[in-house]
Amino acid sequence: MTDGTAALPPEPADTARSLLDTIVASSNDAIIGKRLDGTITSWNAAAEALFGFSAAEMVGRSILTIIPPDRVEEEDAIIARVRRGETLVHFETERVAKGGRLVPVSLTISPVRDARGAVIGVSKVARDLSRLRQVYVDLKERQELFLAVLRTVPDGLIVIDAAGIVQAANPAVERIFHYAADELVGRSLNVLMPDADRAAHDRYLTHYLETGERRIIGIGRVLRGQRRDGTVFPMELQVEEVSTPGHRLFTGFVRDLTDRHARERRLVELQAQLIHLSRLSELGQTVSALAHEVNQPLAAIANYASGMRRMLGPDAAPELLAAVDKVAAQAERASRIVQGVRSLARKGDRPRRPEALRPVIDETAELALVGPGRDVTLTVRIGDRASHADIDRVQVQQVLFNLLRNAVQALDGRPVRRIEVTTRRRDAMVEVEVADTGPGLAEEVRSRLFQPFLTTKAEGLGVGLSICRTIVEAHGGEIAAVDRPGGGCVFTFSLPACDGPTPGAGDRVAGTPGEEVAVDQ
Amino acid sequence: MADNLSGRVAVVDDDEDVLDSFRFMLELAGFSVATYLSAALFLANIPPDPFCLIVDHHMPVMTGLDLVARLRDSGSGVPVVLVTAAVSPAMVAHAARVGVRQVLQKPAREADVIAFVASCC
Repeated sequence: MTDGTAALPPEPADTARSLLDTIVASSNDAIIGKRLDGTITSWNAAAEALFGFSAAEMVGRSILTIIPPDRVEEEDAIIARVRRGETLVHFETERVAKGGRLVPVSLTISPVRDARGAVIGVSKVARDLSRLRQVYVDLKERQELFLAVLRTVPDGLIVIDAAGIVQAANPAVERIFHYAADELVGRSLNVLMPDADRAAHDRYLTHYLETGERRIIGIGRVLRGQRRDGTVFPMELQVEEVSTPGHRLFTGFVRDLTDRHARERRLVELQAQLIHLSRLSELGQTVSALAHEVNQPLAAIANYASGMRRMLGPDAAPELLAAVDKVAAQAERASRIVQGVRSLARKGDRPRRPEALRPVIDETAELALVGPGRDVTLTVRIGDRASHADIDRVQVQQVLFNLLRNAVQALDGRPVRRIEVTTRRRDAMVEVEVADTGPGLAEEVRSRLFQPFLTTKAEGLGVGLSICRTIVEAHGGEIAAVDRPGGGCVFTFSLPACDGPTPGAGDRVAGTPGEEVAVDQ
Repeated sequence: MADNLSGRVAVVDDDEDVLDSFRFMLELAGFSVATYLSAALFLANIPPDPFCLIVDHHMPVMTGLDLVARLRDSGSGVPVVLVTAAVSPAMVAHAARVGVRQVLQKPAREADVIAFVASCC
């Protein structure tokens, strides 16, 4: 001002001091000054708030006031380090607040030096960690809850990063793939797939990351999975993107489809067999029906020829007698041809084998009761010495399928929806009975039940029961239908009985859920 | 063939032509013949004993075997031959159970039919 220089006047020492005081006073962190002997020399407002002691109470007192007895040695060590001129940054420890409450704190401790540089005191900045600790505890609890929930997820759950590296896996993944979760963490997701599929999966992920276009993300796909032992199995994989700030993670839900696939494949196979057989049987049925129809006029021709032969007597013209004999002989020949074609049509039959009836019935019921038959109660009773029969399994399944399917249709809209399949021994045959609680048979239907091309159904050819009859008769059995006392209808067919490898065993095995199993007689 | 046969024969078949041919053949052989187009028609008009019965198995409503079973239930012991296009062991066993004397493949040979009828009369 007076010497005319443009330099800013030096800040007076007391102005600098008051600025520092203001900063200290307004800090959110507790700032404490103390001498090397531990006597507190300053105590700011945040320290008052954190420890509950006022500056008036604390200035002049020992720092030991806020140090837990078991941490006194720790304080001695800190002071020793500060004496050597060291600074401790973010040292986590505990201090005691007024009333004895322990406060978790993070300390930054620096030496205070005099003008010559000698350490004459300590400044201590303490940050309250209790809220942080609480947040950490809460987080930990939530994480544990979350993990506990994940452990209960029946499907496999795998978390991967954008590079396809496994970050986490739940116990279901361990069960499905036979890897421990920590073996998988850090490895590429594609170790869970057969070699051939790995490249494709990597491509899906890069494609999505580059273009945002979904090939697998957000869409379930059926893929091949590979277990630790190398076995490959069908799995459904659904990958979802997890949106978290700063991370690009994906969750993969894995469902093992082995059982479902095996079941579906079995149903498809069975169905294919039945369709194939149904064609064969329709052919057999047509031939059989034809044979029956042609046999009638042939029988008439043979009878007329016999009568004529008798009528002509021995004195008739030899040419006429010969001609009448030839009529009879030709009728017989035609009949033999018909029988021949008939047995030819039967050559398509597979050889018969002794079969346990229970699995034959169960397997067919499984197929016949899909869809509208889902809620039908099925009871299977295997009678004494009626557990096995000498049959073409697939053909007999077709008979059962037809009868069960008819029964299911008859139960449509009925209050009681029950089907009972019962086997019983009758001499050399096993009788299989399929009874339902439907409306029973209309009189005009019953009379022509087993004739081809008669049907009460809107769709369908009406060959089902005539095929059944063809098959049952080819087995040397018979099929018949009667009304059931108390309502409903009972179809009975017979098959050649045989004694199973272990008679009686296997008959009393519990059925699939929803079935009652009882033993007849 | 001998012409000195006699006796009553009932024939049940759902085919009119087959019935007519049986009548033709059996009457010429010397039997008196009654024919029925269904089991029900036969049951409504059972001829007086003694007679024998030729019955077709595959008939609508009531099969040949059903008819025989019904006759046995009512105490009739009439001799029966069953004629069928499809002979099977089960049917033969069933036929034996209800007391059918013989099962013949259709078309049946005249000689077999005559021999049966003659043996009954």
